[in-house]
Formats: sequence, C-alpha cells, structure tokens
Amino acid sequence: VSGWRIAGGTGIDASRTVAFEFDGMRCAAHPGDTVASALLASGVRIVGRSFKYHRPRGIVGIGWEEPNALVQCLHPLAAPGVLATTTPVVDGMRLRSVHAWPSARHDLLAFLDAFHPLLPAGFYYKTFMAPQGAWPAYEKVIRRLAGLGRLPATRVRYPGRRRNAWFDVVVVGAGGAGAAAAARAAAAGSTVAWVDDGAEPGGRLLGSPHDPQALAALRETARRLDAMGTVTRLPATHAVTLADHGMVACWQRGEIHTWWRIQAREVVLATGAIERPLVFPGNDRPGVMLASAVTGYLHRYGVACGRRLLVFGRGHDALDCALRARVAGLSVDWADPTEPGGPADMRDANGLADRDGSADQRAPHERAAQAGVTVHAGFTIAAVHGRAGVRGVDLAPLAGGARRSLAVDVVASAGGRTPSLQLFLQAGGRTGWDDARRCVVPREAPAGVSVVGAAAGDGISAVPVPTPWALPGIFTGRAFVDLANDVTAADIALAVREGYRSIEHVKRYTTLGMGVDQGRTAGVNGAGIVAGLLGVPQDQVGVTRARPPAIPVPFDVVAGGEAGDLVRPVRRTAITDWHLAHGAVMVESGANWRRPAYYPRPGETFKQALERECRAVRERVGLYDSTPLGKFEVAGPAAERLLELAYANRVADLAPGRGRYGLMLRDDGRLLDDGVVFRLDASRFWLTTTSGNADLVHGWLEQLRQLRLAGGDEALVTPVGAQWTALVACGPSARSLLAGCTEGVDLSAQAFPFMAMREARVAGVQARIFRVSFTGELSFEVNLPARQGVRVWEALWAEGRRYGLEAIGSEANHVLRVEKGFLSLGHEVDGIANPLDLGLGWAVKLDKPAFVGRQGLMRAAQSDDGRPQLVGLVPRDGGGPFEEGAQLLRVPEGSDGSEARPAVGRRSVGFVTASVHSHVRGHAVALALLEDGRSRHGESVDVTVQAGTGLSTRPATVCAPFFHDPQGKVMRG
Amino acid sequence: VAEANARFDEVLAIQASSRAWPLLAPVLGAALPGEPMGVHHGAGFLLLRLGPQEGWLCCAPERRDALERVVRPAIAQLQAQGVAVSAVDLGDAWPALELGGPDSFDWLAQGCALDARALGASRCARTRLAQAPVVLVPWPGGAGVTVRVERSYLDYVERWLEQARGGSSQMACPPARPL
Repeated sequence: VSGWRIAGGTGIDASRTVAFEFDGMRCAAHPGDTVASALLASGVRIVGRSFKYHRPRGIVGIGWEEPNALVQCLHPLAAPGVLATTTPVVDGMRLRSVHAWPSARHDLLAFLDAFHPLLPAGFYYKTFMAPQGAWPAYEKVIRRLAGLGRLPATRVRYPGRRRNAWFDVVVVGAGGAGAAAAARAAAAGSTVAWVDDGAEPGGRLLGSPHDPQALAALRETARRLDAMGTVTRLPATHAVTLADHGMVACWQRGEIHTWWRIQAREVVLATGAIERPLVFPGNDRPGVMLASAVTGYLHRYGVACGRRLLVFGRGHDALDCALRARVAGLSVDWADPTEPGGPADMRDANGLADRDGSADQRAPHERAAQAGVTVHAGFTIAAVHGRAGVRGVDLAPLAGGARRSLAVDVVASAGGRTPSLQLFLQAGGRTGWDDARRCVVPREAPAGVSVVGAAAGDGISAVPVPTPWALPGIFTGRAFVDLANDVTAADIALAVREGYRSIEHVKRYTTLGMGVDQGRTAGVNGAGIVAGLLGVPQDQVGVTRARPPAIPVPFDVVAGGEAGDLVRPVRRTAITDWHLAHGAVMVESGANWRRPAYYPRPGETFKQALERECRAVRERVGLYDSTPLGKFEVAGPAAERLLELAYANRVADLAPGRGRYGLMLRDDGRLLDDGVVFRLDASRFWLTTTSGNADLVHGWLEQLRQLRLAGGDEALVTPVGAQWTALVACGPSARSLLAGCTEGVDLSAQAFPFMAMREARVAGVQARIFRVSFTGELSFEVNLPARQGVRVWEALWAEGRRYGLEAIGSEANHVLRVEKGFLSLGHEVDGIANPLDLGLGWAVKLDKPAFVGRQGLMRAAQSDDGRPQLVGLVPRDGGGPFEEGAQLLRVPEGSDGSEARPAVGRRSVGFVTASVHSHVRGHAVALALLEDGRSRHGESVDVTVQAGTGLSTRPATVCAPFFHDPQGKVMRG
Repeated sequence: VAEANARFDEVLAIQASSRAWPLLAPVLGAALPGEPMGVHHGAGFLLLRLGPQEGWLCCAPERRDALERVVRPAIAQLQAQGVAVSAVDLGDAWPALELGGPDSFDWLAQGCALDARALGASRCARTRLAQAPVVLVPWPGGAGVTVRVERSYLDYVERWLEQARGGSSQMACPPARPL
C-alpha cells in the first residue's frame, strides 16, 4: 500500500489486502475501502475528464454528493457510471476512467478546454439551430464526444431479487437522528424498517473523529434494536424513491442485489446533510475537495488526500478537518474568507461547544493555531495552480493588500451544510431557505412523512462565509458551480443576463444540477448566485424539484429476477405447445399474448408459407387458434339493458341462439372495440372482444353497469376468456371437417345459419359453436373448456387430413381479413375513427334512444366534410404492398397520376392502415383512411414510399374496401 | 409448488345482486361471508367472496356434480323469480397452485404488493403476482397459501416462482399486522 495510507482508518481491515486495477495500473486496497478511498490511497488524482471541456477531474466528496468520480467497471460486473465514492472495492476489480481517451491522465480531447470561451451556456441551442437539417451530422460528432462511459458489449446481469415488505414505520438513515427515530418507533411497539446506507450504522459519525461517545451510544442502540425482532435493519441499502402512501423503494447491495418496495404508514427521513463547497476560480482542479471528505478519508479509511492541506472556509467541517489533518501529521493552512471583525468572531457560530461536550470556548482560529495550523483570516482563494492537480494557491485578502502564495496539494473547502432532501422533494414536500442557518430546510411535509436530524436543519449552524456570489473573481475566473456538467458561475450569469429568472429555467438552460449527482453540491450555490444576481432573497429563488431516482440505480437491480424471459409475461393458450411442436413462428400480439404468426415447412420462406395458408382457407379449410379473444357472459334481469347501452347495434331483438356484430363506442362516438354478441337464453348473453382489449372492455362494462345504468346491480358480468379454448375452422370444407367430429347438431346452412350459435359435442367434448367469420369464408368457431382444448384441436387436425387442412397463423388471418375489408384494432380502429368513417353505419342504430357514443357520433356526422373514410387501394405500378402507415398525397392538378413524384411539401390526406399481397386477386391491395374517401372511388392518390433518406411516391387507385366476395355470400353459405 | 390436483380445483362463479346474496344462504346451507374478501369453509366446498357481487364456489372434482345438483336448480328457481343471480363454470379458467412451508409468504412477497399474511385465514384477495392476475387464498392453518392463476398466465407464474425460489429465506420480515 502506497505512502498515502496513514495509520488508523476505523472503517477498513488494514490487516488484509485486496488488489484492483485502474486504467491498467495495479493498485492495492483494504477490505472496507470504497473505490474512491482506494484510488486516493494509491495516489490517483485524476479519475476522469469533465463532461463538456474534458478538464481533468478528481474525487471531491465521500458519498452520493460526488460529482466527478464516475468510473467504468470492467470486472466483476461490467457497468458504466459506477460512482467511486459509494462502491466498495472488491478483489480483482478492474476499472477504467470515463470520458477520456486514451486515459484520464492523457486525454486527446483535452484541447476542447482551450475553446471554452466558444462554449457558453446554451451553446447547443445557439449553435446547432442552423442550417436546418444539419443536426444529424452534428449529432454524430457530438455523440462521440459526449457521454459518461460505455455500455458493455454483452448483456451483464446483476443477480437480483425484488422484495415487497410492509412495516408500520420506515426510517431512512442510520446516523444519530435515524437511530433515535428507529428506537422511538420501536419503543412505541411499531414494526420498523431501518434503511442504512452504510455497511454499519453511524451515518456521518463514522467519518468524524470528534464524537466517539455518540458513535458508541449509537452502536449500542443499533445492537438493542437488532435484538428486538420488530426492527429490520437493512445495511448497505440506499433509498431510491419515496412515493405517495409511504412507499419507499430501496436498493440493497450484496452478492444478490435486492430491490425493496417497502410500504409503511409512517416515513421518517433522517437523511442527514451534505457539505456545500465554496465556489472560487480554479475550484475544479483535482485535489480541491470537500472538507468533510478530507476528514472522512483520513478517519475512516486512513487515507491522506495530500501532504500539504489548505482548509478554505469556516464552520465545524473546516475546524474538524484542520485538526484531524494535524493529528495525521499533515501541514495545514486555513484560509478563512470571513471578514475580520465580522460575524466570524462570534464564538457560537462555530458551534463546537454543543457537539463534543468539551465546552471549549476558544475561538476556532485560536484552537487551530495551537494545533499548529497557519491561519489566514480574511483571505480568499484568488487562483489555484496545477493543471493535473493542485500544486499551489494564491490567497488574496478580502480587504485588499498583498497576496500570499502557498504550496499546497489539497484544498478542503467548507461552505456549510445542505440538508439532503431528495426523497422529501420527490414525495412533494416543500422547502424554504432558512436565513438564520443559511440552508434549505423542509417546510411542509407530505402526509405521513417527517424529517429529523440534520436533514431538518437540526444542528446546522450558520457558516458565515460570504455567499457564493460575493466571493471575488467567480465571474471572471473559471469558477465551477456544477462540476458534473461543467457549469460555471459565468454560465449562470449569462443565463440571467439573457432573461432567465426561474431557477427551473436556469437549470434547463445551463444544465445546472442535471448531472448524475442531481446537483447535490451545485443546487444551493447555483440558486444563491441567481438570487444574488437578481437581488432577491434566496428563499424567493427556491430550489429545483428532485425527481426519482435519488441515486443512479442499474435497471437490472430494479428488475430483480424479472429479467430475460420473465421481463414480461407470455400468455399461452391450450394449443401453444402444439403450435411450437409444429414449427410455428410465434409473435407478440397484444395483452401479453404470443401466438403463431405462420407455420413454415422446412425450406419454406415466409411468403411461401403465407400463400399456402391463405390458399388453404380460400380453397379448402384452415384451423386457427382464436383463444385470445376476450369473452364474457352477461346475465341478469338488466343484462339486455346493459348491452343496449354498451353497443351501438341492437341487442334486444336477438332470439336465443342468434348473434350480431357489435360496436362499442366511447362517449365521443369513436370506436372503442368490436366483437360479436349472442343471446344464449332469455337473460344470458355471450360476447367477444378483440384480444388486446379484453381487460379494457371488462372495466368499461363494469363502469357502465355500476355508474351509468339505472339498476345496473342486476346486470352480472363474468369474464370467461380463460375458461374457453376457441378454434376456428374456416374455408369451403369447414362444414365437412366439423361434421366428421361433431354429434348432436345439424350443421347445414338452413339449420345452423350464419351468426347463429349451437351447443354440441365436438370430438366428445361439450362445445359452443358459433358461425362467425373473420376471413370471409364459411367458418365455425368452436369453444371448448380449456382443459379439453388441445384434445379437440388434435382430433380436428387428424380429421382434416382428408380435406387438406392447414393450421393458420395470424399473418394469413391478417391477409384474409384485409381482402374482406374487415377491421382490426390498431390498424383501422386507431382510437380516432368513428363507425361512420369506417363504413359501419349499418351497425349503428341511431334510432335507438340511448347508447354510449350516440351524441358524439351525431355531432361528428353533422360535420362530415373532410373526415377520414375507409377505402381500398390498388397500386397502379403493379408493385408489392405499400408500407403500413404510408401517407396518402393528392395527385397534382393536370397529372394523370401514373408516375412516381417527390413527396416533399405536399399535404397528407390520409394513410395506409394495412397492405398485403392478395392471392385471390393476384396483386397487392391496401386499406386506407382517406379524407372524404367514399366520394373518391376511382380517383388516384400518391402513396409515400421511403427512398433512401427521402420520400418518393407510388401511384394508387382508390376503390371500395372489399377485394373478395363483397356481398358476403361465401361466409353466409 | 404443486398444481392442486385435489381439493378445490373446480370453480363455479356466482354473481348476484346485493339483494340476491342473502337469498343464496339457505341454498348453500351456511351463513355467507357478508364482506367482500371473506372466505367461507362449507361442507366440502369453499366460498371466496371476491367482490360485492361475485363469489367463487370451489370444490374438489368429485364433489362437483353433487354441488351443482344443489346449486343449479336453486339458482334457476331464483332466476325464474326475477332475481339477479347467475352461475358460470370457471373450472378451466383459474388453476390453483399450492405454496406451503415456512417461507411461502416471503416467497410470495417477492412479487406481490399485498401482504398475504395480513389476510389471515378467513380472507382472500384478488391481486397480482409479478405481472399476472391471481387470487390468493391462505390455508386455514396459516402454513401456506393457494394461488389461483388465470390459465393463460400459469406457465409464466410457474417460471416466476421457480426463479424466486430460495430468495425468500434470507429476507424474512417481522410479521405484518392485519390490513
């Protein structure tokens, strides 16, 4: 271990050593080290390059406030954006600096920094606006230059689990205030989840040498709580989000990462406070750190961040740092930028007396001087020397006079504390600026949330350093406010000059606080500068809203074990195994269903398989698994009234065993869903919905029944989709096929007409058979109890050999329905079209007194002009199908509409909803929605087509939206 | 995990208006659970009151015919009197998985936002396990829970349970309070 490691280190096991690698350099560390402490111990000063200017950057903080030290982890888990200050180092770890090439020390893009006067705030908005259309070219270069790390080339899995848990109280934070809150809640008999960011409880006390008794007492409390059984302490666990109703999501690190979703009646936030850096020219040099971090690295990890330390600032953290560094044998100077004779001389401002109990009332400067610290009272930093790391500073007296030059290699900046209120703000808490303590404090907490300890401002005393905007030189030198995103004080001043007033707008314009650290160190300083420039109180400027996640979390951790095959459910029918065994290519098809697209035979292409399946249906017979369709039984004295309300078509006059095509509309008259409705007996109905909308329709029917139908209590809706397997035999031979397997029903057209339903035994199983058709062919939909589904499918399959039966996938089904001009959800039913647009006026009974959507539809019908209407299209160039979604453009006056034309600058008058090659017609056909389409049959339109990077067009003729059996004689046969 | 081969595989979904529910009590020979989520253990059957209108009558396959012989005519009689009540067979729709053993509730807690322990033995709940709709019915002795799964999600839920197996023991929480 290198010479930066000193004796002590309360948080590491110095007796053991682990090895890791950074930018190819072999380094040593101890168990307990974070990546940051290990890098500092190894003498690494530059850990990466800055986001915009590629300036060398070093470690600044010791926790989640760290703005710079993101590294790429290559091993054991390949991941970008790993925060060095919060990631434990493990043996064999390999790390690389990010945003630098070839390395952080020697970055070829460092030249960008020389152009910084050309790269002000809003640079992108000002520069890349013109010329129009050039952005893609800019983007290629910018993408190469930007970014923090690279995604690993192969999929990396965080072994993880999710866990829901329920407690009375959740306490976030394991410092003194958190321990007290957990103890209080436990004593009151509550079950408590105690979320502890660290491996052991202690919070900030772990990094501070001055409260050993407090830490010992806290550890004793933790031991007692651990033994109670009602307190669950979650070590190494970071609270990520706080949502309404006491829902806290946390990431627990470990061999297996756990994503906790904790629900609690009461949330106590003891999230502490982080140190606020001072803003001064050159403050981004590697070696300029937070004072509390310098102290923490010394105390917890036994790491000296330098040999010659300058403490800059005031308050607990400044004095703690100076004294601890002296104990460690460092040479220490202290520049205190408070005015001599000003508030700095107030003893209580230091606040040490009430913390260590020693009642040491000596002035801080005096205490420091006695410990061997050279104090420069009334001095500020005018310049920092050393490009790759601090080599010295120039101090300037605030009152004017001679400068002092110091040779130091680390600067510890202490500007007061900022309560950590990310979770509080996420949950909708309101904050305000407390002028007495000079920090943001919680003002109005959301219900069930309370804030305690330093997070509430407790124990934070005003540090009377000059407000950031009052330090000289910050607008002329390069003084960084946001290190993560390279935002300087001058950038903020420019934004204010350009008229930005709201801190939210300044944030978006300058990117202040938009880095991975969410502006933990930048937010308050940025708001202070805005307030100073505008001449308003800081309370009036406020802070930007924090949003989840509070810390960067790998997606994999959130997913837990629900990744890969489990990332989404795959719903199966009783026939799915059969489909797979017969070579079906499966596709996702809405509502988590996966169904066969087509069944290629060995050596067969998609087109060949599709044609074979389509021809089978038109010429012989096909078998289709339509199980995913939504199915409901509606019963009760009010059933008929409910369906009359829900459907635009008539239901009341259906005789038992007869059915009808039905449209469900929304209140605005647009199409919600389509399906069929059959009357089973006097007060029982069977209805189907589209596969994707089954749950939606269920909710819709319940809403109508419960809220809008008088006496709706007497309509009883039972979803039965999962009960039934549905098989469709379709094609000229469907009747013969079914006849061979069916008992107890006369299948003839006279006895069993189109849109009728019969109960019968199919292959020995009691079934409901419906004569409905989605292909335009003679069809029987056989519904069977799901446990019997595959048995009957196999029986029909065996029987079908005699008829040349083919299994039909959703692709063939699509082609066949387009040929018939039948509608499909997501194609023609796009949430905008109404039934009149789609040529379905025959299925809407406007003479019915009331149905959902009637008023909306009548209003739409009155303003008929220019509405999109369903039409058919046939290409005039003899080519293949159009692209779905292609735009329709009107043919220019005087053109015969037969040739390709450029598309740019012409108004769209519609779009293609579906286009396929029709085997019965021998050419491509399409369905489209076209303005006033019904009056344009026979006319020409241009259909856009992608041509290289631009658009061209293909000519098409508008026709009626039917390409096969327009009278429907075949399906009624 | 064992797919319930035995006890209460058959489901008859009873829907009835609020007025009609009390009329069903004499049919089933028992006091019905009045509150939604209530569970009633009858003679050879289980009634899950899943909503104000909805209840599932669950029984073993061999008991099904006997139960239907009692329930169907009684319901038909009520229907003839104009009472809003219906019975629909869902025996194929919601297969049951039985999760037993000391870790079963923690196992479930990895994917279920509702604390099944808080239900106690006399209540059930319709909820989601991972991303699938399920009905949870705790065992009477508290030693396990029946998970009924919408059939199309069965394979997904079985695979989900498999990946979550063993992840529960080291993450046990103190007992929750009733909802």
